[in-house]
Amino acid sequence: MLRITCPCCGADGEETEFTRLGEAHIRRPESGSASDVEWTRYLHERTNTAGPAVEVWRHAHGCGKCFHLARDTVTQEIYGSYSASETTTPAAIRARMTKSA
Amino acid sequence: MSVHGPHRIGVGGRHIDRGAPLRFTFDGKELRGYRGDTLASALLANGQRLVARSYKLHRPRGVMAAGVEEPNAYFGVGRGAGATPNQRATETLLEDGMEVVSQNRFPNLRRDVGAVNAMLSRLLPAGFYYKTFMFPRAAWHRLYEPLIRRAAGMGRAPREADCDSYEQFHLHTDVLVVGAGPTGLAAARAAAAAGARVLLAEQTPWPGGRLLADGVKVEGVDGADWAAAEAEALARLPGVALRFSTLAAALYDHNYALLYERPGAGAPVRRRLWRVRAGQVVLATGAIERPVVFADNDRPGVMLASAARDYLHRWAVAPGTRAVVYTGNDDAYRTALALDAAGLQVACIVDARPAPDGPLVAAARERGIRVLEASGIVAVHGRRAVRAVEIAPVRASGRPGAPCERVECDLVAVSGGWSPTAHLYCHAGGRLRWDSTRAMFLADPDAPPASVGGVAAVHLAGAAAGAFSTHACLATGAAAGGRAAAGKGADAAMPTVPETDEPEEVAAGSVWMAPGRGRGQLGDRHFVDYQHDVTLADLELAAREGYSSVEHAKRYTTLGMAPDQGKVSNVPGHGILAEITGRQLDSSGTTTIRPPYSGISLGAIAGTQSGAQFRAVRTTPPFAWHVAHGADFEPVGDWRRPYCYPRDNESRAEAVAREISGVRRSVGMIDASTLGKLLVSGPDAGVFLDRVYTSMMSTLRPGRCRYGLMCNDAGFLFDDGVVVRLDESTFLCHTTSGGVGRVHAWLETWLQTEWFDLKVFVVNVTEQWAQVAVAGPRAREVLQPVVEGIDISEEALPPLSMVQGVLEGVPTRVFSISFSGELGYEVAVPAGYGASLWESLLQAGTPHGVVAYGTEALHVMRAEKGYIMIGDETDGTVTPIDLGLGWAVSRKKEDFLGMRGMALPHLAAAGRRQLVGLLTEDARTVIPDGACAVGGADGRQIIGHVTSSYHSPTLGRSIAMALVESGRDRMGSVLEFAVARGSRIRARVVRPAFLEDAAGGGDD
Repeated sequence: MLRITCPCCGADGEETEFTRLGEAHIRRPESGSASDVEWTRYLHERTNTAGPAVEVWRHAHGCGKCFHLARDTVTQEIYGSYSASETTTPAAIRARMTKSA
Repeated sequence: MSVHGPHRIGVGGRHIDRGAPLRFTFDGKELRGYRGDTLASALLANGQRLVARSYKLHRPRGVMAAGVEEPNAYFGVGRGAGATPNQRATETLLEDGMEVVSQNRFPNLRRDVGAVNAMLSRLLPAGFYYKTFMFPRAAWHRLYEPLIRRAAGMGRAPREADCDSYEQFHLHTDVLVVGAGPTGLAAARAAAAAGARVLLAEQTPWPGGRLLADGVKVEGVDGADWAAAEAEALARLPGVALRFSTLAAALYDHNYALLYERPGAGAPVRRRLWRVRAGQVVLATGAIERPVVFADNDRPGVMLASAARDYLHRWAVAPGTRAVVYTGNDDAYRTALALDAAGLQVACIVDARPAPDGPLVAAARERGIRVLEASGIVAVHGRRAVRAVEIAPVRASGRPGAPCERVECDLVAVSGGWSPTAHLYCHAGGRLRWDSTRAMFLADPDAPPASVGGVAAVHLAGAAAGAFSTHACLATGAAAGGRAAAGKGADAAMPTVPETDEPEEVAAGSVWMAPGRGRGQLGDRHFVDYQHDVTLADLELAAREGYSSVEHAKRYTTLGMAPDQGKVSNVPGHGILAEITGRQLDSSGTTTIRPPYSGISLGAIAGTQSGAQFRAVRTTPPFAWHVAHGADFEPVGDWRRPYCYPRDNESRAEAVAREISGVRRSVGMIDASTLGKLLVSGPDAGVFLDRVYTSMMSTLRPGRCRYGLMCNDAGFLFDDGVVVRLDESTFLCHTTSGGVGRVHAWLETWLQTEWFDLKVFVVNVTEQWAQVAVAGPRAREVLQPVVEGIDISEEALPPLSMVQGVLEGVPTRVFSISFSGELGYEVAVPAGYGASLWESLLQAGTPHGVVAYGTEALHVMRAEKGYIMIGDETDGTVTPIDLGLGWAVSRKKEDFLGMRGMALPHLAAAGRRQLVGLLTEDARTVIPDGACAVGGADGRQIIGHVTSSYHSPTLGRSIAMALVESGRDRMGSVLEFAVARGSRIRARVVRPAFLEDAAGGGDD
């Protein structure tokens, strides 16, 4: 069971307090112009990474806030977390992820 | 000889209290033991050598080990609701009056009918079930499965509910040390000295580990005494906690450990589960001795060499009177010396090595004990107990040589080598590698467990790390404890490693198996996995049939899959498999080691969460009234809602029919408080709702209501409800009763991760408001006096609108919305006033004959109107268009969740299942929910399924809704629904508007 620190409220909690929402930085295409293929990819295609990955999590049984969590899906090492409204992974976290990979 | 068992030695026995004799029964026979005995030591003391029957072949079995690794001695303990099957005798402390029964035998342990299986063992090889019970297929359900089920399984679970109680604790610690042998004690000492909070967990009730039986001196005193004193001293240190009888069952991510405590007789709970979060973990878990695989190696009297001296030293039990020791290493010589010193006979030591050497070997020779080199046991005599063995030289070819010698004995102490106990290390993600010089699996330095924050967080020490001498245990334990506590501030000098006095040991050797003689050559009496009766012959068969990888062989033969999880059998199994297939062990590896290390009870996992505490129940403000008026409740999510209110001797169906006709004729009321209520507020609330509902919400005027649908981005419908605009910037969104949490999380996720520029708040106010629906032709007459002061005339409150006011200081909202087709209102007040609102409405309704109705009446009435229910008509693959709800899907909006998805080719294509109504040809027949419509070219394709089906009291006939391929093109046609045993129900396809059409609307 992972131990996660919520970057929004600061609580250091058990994994069961949180909900994993899935892979992060999935861009929702413009629905007016997206092709069927683009839309299907957006809906269903995920990298399902084994190793360093960024996901969206929500502190569902806590402050209720969503955030990005960078972790290794195999070793469960946690590299850091950042705001849900960021569209890219901060350089410092990315550096930790590449070093580990 | 003591009165307390013919095999109890008059002196010694570290654990037993000779002043506290206990009585217990074994299969009804009264026996005696002492406080401190385990069930295993007590049975052995009483000369009970045959204690169990094996699982598949029902072979007679005896106690094999002295700890958690025991594969044979499992019993049912206790009676009635307190009975517990499958208790391991080596871990069960004897209690006064304990009732113990053997398992897996009929009619009794000595004469077991199932033992006929052993005679048929050649016909019951690995994969037997797969090969034999294939044909004819129909026989599987009626014949094979019931027979196998009757024969299978160990022990009997009690029929009554468990009468014991359990509890769970959470605990945080800097360092968790597992195991209180010399390694664990040294680790705890070092970690505490460095300033860490330490929890030391030991699975047995005693500190000391092997020191308890091996006679090694530490700091000049007996090792066991040193361990006891050290444990006491540690317990007095601040920040150090010791827990005995506490098994570390699992180690999960980020050092989350599960510890399983058996508090013992007289404790307030039977078992306790500790959920521990540790900064660092030191695994001082020791090692488990391996048996040797030879013909009839499972006869009662064959025992692990270390266990033999455990019983001798720790419980003063003579495991036999004349022993043969069979080994491939020096350690088992300790057993020979201990037996000899206790005055028991040691007939000889059979050593697989060609020239054993070293201080222990020399000591045995000095005592005049015969050592047979390069030899093996090739046959065992005696069925229910060992009477003699045959010993022969074992040639390099693997065949027994001459001469073959028969030696009378009643104990065979075996040691095939030692396997470090690294299970928890593997739980945490570490891998093991075969070390061929030391003949054991050791931690693979290239595949350590996951680190926490980039720092190693799990450390093996002592025998678990391959360090076997007491000195090495103390040294590696202290080093690991110090590493684990690094950074805890205290710079105290590391404690010095205590002095030990022990003979030097030659690197541990390994002996896997010995060839058999005569009948024993077949290998089907060479037991590898005792508990599941997996033999050498089974492994050979698996390899021959291509199941030669350890993972395949395990599943094909069930090696290591019994309740003991192969603690003594896995590594020998892997070693033998490697020999059979001509591979090196390091290339074949181990099977995946998963938690738990040893079984823990379901009661402990449930903890206090059973019975009424199993799950919190949500109740609505008028709940007490529902209970008082005989409501028949049903669960809706975590809520309890009245399904109906049966009166006197009414059946459920009669009550539902009465409630429906009451509503249709006059008026009824239902507690709708469970309805999800989300307040969506802010300057961008309208924009936001336009994006999450399929219809336009921003154009809704304050005080007006609109039915809305929510889809995911794939275009599938997942929730619905009425949206009310309270004021310019605030909407009240009703959701389904079970769906509000899901919908709330959904809205928050979009706001926080995608549309964080929108200025909107979402608050779940479901429990803040009580809501009562009043429906029926007289609804207004009932409601008006209750909300006196709020105008609910048709002009002031037309359908799909809302008025609010304050009645005697209570904020009140009235919505004109209906889910039954009747004139309908919903009244909402703050939850605290919910019960009195309910009572007031009842009172006002009494002159009109008001009925309280439940969820089933509600569901039938909505079906009579053809309204959908989320979860009935939807299943996550259904679009609003499929349901004929296209009118609620905006074509004007630029975008909303689900819009693009609904336009994907497979959702827009013809031939999708569409919602239709069904009228059975026989009006009394109600089609079973979920029944499949069959049709297509050959009349055997499934072309649809029933989503809702009821008897309609209003129409006096059955009605149903179904999703049917191109359903809307099939109006008027007749479909067949396949139900049980080939019978079919015929029903006409109609539009789903039963009430309207029956009133003269017609089918078109």
